[in-house]
Amino acid sequence: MDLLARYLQSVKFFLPSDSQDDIVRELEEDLRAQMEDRESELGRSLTDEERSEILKRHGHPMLVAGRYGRRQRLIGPAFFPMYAFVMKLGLGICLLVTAVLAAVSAVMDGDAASQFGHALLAYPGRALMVFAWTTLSFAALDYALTRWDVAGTWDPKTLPRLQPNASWTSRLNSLVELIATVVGLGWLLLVPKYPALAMGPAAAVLAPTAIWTTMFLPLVGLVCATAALACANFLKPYWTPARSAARIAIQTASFTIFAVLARSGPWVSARPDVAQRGGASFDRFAEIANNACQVALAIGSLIALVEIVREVLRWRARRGSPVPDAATVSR
Amino acid sequence: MAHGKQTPEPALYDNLRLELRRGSLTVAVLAALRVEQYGYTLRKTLDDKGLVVEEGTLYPLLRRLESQGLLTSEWREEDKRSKRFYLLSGDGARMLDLLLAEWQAIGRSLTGILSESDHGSARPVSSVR
Repeated sequence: MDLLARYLQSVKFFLPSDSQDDIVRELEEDLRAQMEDRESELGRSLTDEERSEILKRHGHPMLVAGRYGRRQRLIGPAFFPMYAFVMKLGLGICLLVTAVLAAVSAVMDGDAASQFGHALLAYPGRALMVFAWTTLSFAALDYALTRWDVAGTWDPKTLPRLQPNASWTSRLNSLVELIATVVGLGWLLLVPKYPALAMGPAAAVLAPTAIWTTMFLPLVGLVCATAALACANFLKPYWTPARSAARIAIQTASFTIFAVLARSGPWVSARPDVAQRGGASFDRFAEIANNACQVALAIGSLIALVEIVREVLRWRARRGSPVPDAATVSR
Repeated sequence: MAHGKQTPEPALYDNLRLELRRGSLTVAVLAALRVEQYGYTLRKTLDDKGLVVEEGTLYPLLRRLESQGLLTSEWREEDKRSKRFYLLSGDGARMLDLLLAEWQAIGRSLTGILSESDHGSARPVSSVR
């Protein structure tokens, strides 16, 4: 019976401490009865091999004990699809952020390839954090909703109103826009400290003029507003007149900022220390850079203007779309 | 996958069969424990009636039903061995009545659905409406 005692000891190890003695006592009784029944059938004592076969059929100690657990799952089937979606999204964003930071680190420091590779090594640690926090959050959510029946108190009247078919917006587009604007915001905030992020190697000889300091906050506000709108579109992916108005307002602000910038040249000048050494050749370099800025700002203004017109046309088209009834939605 | 006369996938069949039996097992255990029994004899009783249950499933179920107040249990000596005997409680008996009524209602509904299907076998949903 040494094998049986060893088996029960292993099961006991995995059982809840307050009930393990009781459970093991009952299991022991059941297994002894099985063995005695088998002995009666065969008319002799069981061999170790036959005892082992009975224990094997009873199951692995960890699995046997696991069935007595009070909580059988961390995240239930109701939340699992959302959990898997958020996990994939979080790990993807984490990879993107790590890649951008690695690229910045590679640009900032000399040995680009080695710096990039080194910065990418931070991904496993960050991914593990994303994994842990996402899992913990969903486990807590699952526990809370199971315990307090929060899901039972929801009010169907709070559901979003029916949307015309033409009103649904692409979640993927909103997500791409959100990621791009967040990355853009990070880039914008880093540029004052690291001008090379905007001007590349030319930052060694050129410096931005004061107009950029004046327009810095409006630019940051503009990117934040774009990110907020992308976030709203991602969470509730359908068109509303308010969102269209917000997009028109953002594009109008973009146009205004580009127009103000376009009229406020020059945008870069030769750095004073370099200008003294290089003289006319650096002034010529700054002139070429300013011409490029002028063209870029004119293109930016034009794009903003086109976007305003497009959004107004979209608004007019969507306003006429019929709202579907229940039968149409269920089809 | 399982159209026409093709044999359904065994793993899928096992899963669905397990789901179907899970609810029935609770009813069967409550019904069998109208007479006091200990775990091993209960399992043999169910086995004899064609309901094979693994120990790993039965004992946790007994503990759960006891913690829900549907069973009572006590350790007692029998044949010089200490055994835990289970018996249906008052609440358990009332619950069993409710579950049996539900079981019979499901049976009647299923019979109705099957007889309807037999009269107009394999019609598309749109033509049934």
